[in-house]
Amino acid sequence: MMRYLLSKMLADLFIVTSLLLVFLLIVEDWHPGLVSLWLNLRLFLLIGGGAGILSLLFSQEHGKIK
Amino acid sequence: MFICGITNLNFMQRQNFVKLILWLWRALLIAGAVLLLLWLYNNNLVASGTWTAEKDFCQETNKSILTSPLTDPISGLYPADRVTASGIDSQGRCEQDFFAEPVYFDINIPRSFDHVRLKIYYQNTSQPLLQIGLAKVGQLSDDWSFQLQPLENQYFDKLNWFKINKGNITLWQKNKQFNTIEQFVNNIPSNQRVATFYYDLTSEAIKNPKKVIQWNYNTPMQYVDYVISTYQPPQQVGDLKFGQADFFITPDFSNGRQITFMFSAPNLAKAQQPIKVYKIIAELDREPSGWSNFGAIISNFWTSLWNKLNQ
Repeated sequence: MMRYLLSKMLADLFIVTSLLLVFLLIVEDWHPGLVSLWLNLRLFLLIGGGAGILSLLFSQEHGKIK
Repeated sequence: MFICGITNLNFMQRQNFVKLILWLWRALLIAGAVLLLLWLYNNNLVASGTWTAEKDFCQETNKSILTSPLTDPISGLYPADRVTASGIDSQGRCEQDFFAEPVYFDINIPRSFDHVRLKIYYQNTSQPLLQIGLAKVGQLSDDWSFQLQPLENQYFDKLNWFKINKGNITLWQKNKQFNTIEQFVNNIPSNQRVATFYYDLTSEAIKNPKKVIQWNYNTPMQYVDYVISTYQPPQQVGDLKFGQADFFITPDFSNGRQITFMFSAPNLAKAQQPIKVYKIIAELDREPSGWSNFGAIISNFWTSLWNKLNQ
């Protein structure tokens, strides 16, 4: 069950980070510097990508809630 | 203990527990995303109206892969063929040298500003004249125009003439004729040479225009009797000099995202000693954002969005 929970939580983190990343990239494209002056977008890519991969890995094993 | 507690729950209780944790997690994520966006908005709004950026040239030496290139708002000096890489001097201080001029640096700004005060810590042993300029945007590299301000003028600093200061105006007299700057400005001698340096005399005040010249580093001081200027000599801070310059940022000088400055030191390439820059502090200001101008801010935002979409 812990793996299932972790997998779901990582999947949520992946979705939120990806949506945030897309939004921030659009804002940055509209006005260069508005985001990159304060944040490193590579960090979002790393967090989102890492969460997505880990979520997939955990979901391979959890099966159903026992 | 936590895991033992979970394993003791029945199927329905476990399902409810997992749902609760997941909803709490989602609420946390959404709140975090909203807070992040609000933080970004607040940073870019600069509601207080003042924003300060600082560069001490140490960032280049400890750059992390996670640091955005723009999180250091003030760039290093460039072009590369006129500057050295940022380094550490014998006293362990970070600095960057330039040995030919002009050299430039940029400041990435979160929004447009009206005024900037630059404060610069540097070492200059050989260059008698050091100036700094704010560049106009959209100029070709060989056709840049600048708002120039003096940082250091050793010709004037070494001048052993009678000197009168009032506010930021200084008058040097080879032979003392006037007791105040007002007296001089109201009675400019028509038979003696007057040099101005970053100071404009009104045409009404000038009796003989042929005798009034704008000073530059080629002007021989023996042919000048008076010098009037808004130049303020740099302060000595330990073994460093501290100079400052003020600029008004009109729309010609900024696109709202970046401003560019230039260091000018005529004949620096012939000198043996480079100029070492230790720290640059930029204090930018604009009208503070508040409820009184909230409507104007929203209106400007939609206008710029509309213009962007129609490009």
